Amino acid sequence: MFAQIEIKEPIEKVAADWDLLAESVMPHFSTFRALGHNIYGLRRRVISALGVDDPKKGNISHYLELGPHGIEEGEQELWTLRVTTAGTPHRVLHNFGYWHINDKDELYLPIVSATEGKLGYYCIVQGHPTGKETDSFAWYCEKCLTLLYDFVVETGQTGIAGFWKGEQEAVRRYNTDLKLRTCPECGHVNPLGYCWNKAKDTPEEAQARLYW
Amino acid sequence: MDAPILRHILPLGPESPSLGRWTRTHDYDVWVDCRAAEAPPLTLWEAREGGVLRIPDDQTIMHVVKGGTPHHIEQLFGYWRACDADIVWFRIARDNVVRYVIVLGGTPGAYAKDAILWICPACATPLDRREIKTGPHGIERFWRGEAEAVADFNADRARRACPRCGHEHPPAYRFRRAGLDDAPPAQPW
Repeated sequence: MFAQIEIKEPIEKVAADWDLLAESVMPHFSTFRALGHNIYGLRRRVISALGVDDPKKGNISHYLELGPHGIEEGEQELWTLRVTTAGTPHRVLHNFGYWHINDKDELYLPIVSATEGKLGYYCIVQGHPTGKETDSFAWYCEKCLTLLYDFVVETGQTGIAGFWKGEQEAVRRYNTDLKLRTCPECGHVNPLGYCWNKAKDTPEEAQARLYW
Repeated sequence: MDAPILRHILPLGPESPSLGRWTRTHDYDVWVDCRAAEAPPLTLWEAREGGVLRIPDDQTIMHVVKGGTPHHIEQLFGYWRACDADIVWFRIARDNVVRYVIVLGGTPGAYAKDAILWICPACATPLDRREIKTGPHGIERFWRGEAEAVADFNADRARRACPRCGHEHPPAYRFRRAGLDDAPPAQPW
C-alpha cells in the first residue's frame, strides 16, 4: 500500500540502530543503557527449556520476590514476559547478592536462539528513573526476613553510573560490617552479598554467589 | 503506590489467555500475541522525513519507536499513531509461530498524549489527524478517541480524499485487540 512513498534506502543507512538485537548494536546495552524513555539491558545467554544460563554464573532462572505475605519464588520460563512491579524487592539466585528495590517496573523477556546451539537473547526493559526516584540494595535475614540493611541511591539524579557505584558501595559496606549481617531479631549471621558483575567478586563473595 | 503484583507473568504461547490483549503493569501497557507463521505478518512502519520506513520482518527484532514518531502496524490497526511515549516492538519467529510484543510507557507521565492520523499512501500528504489527551486515564482514554476518530474518518469521504493528488484512502479500522466487537475490516492494510 505504501510502495509509492516508501523510503527505498537500506534501513541501516536511515536508522543504524533500528534493531537493538543486531550484533553491532546489542553490545552497547550489555550493562544497561538509557535510550529515550527506557533503560535496556540486553545480553546473549543460553535460553532453553531449562531456563536462562549465564556462561560465567551458571543457571540464573530462579527468582524471588518479597511481598506482604513473604517470599514468592519462581523460574524464568521460556516464552513468557515477566514483570517485576515497581517497589517489589526482588533478586535472582547466583546473579546478584542483594535484594534490588526500585521505583520502576522491570520487564524480562528471554528469547531462544533461532539457530540450535547458538546463544539466545535476554532482554530487560525498565523505565528511566527521574527526580527523586531511587534504587535500593537491601538485605533481609534469610531466617526471619527482618530488614538488615538498605542502601539507597537516588538514581533519578545519578543515572546508571550511580547505580553501579552504589551497588559496589552497598556490598562493600554490608560485607565489611558483621553487625549489619547479624540479625537483630534472631541473631542469625547472614551470608555475604555480591555484585551483579562476577568479575568484582572477592574469593569470599564468589563462595557466597554459589550459596545464594 | 499500589500493592505490588508478585510473579506477574504474561505467557506468549499459542494457548495463552494474554494473547491479543493489553495488560497494564505499574508503568507500562503491554500487548502480546502469537500467530501462525503462515498468517499475514504484522509489519511495522514509521513515518519519517522523506516517506515511510518499513521495519523488516526479520526473524528476531527489537525496535524502539521513539515518542512522537507516527507508526502503523499492518494488519493490526488502520491508522498511523503518534504517542508521546516510546514504544518497544518485538517480533520473534520460531517453530512455525510468530510472537509479537508491544511495550508502551516507562517514565512517569511520558504517556499523556496520543494522536491518530492518516497520510496519503500515494503522495504522503497529511489527510486527517485527531489529538487525544490520554493524561492520567492512559490507554483507556485512547480507545475512546480511537473509536471516534476511525468512525469519523470512515464516514466522511472528504477526509479520505487527498487534497493534493486526489487519491482516496481506504477505510480505517480499529486496533484488532481481543474482545473488540467491531467486524473485521474488509481490507486490513
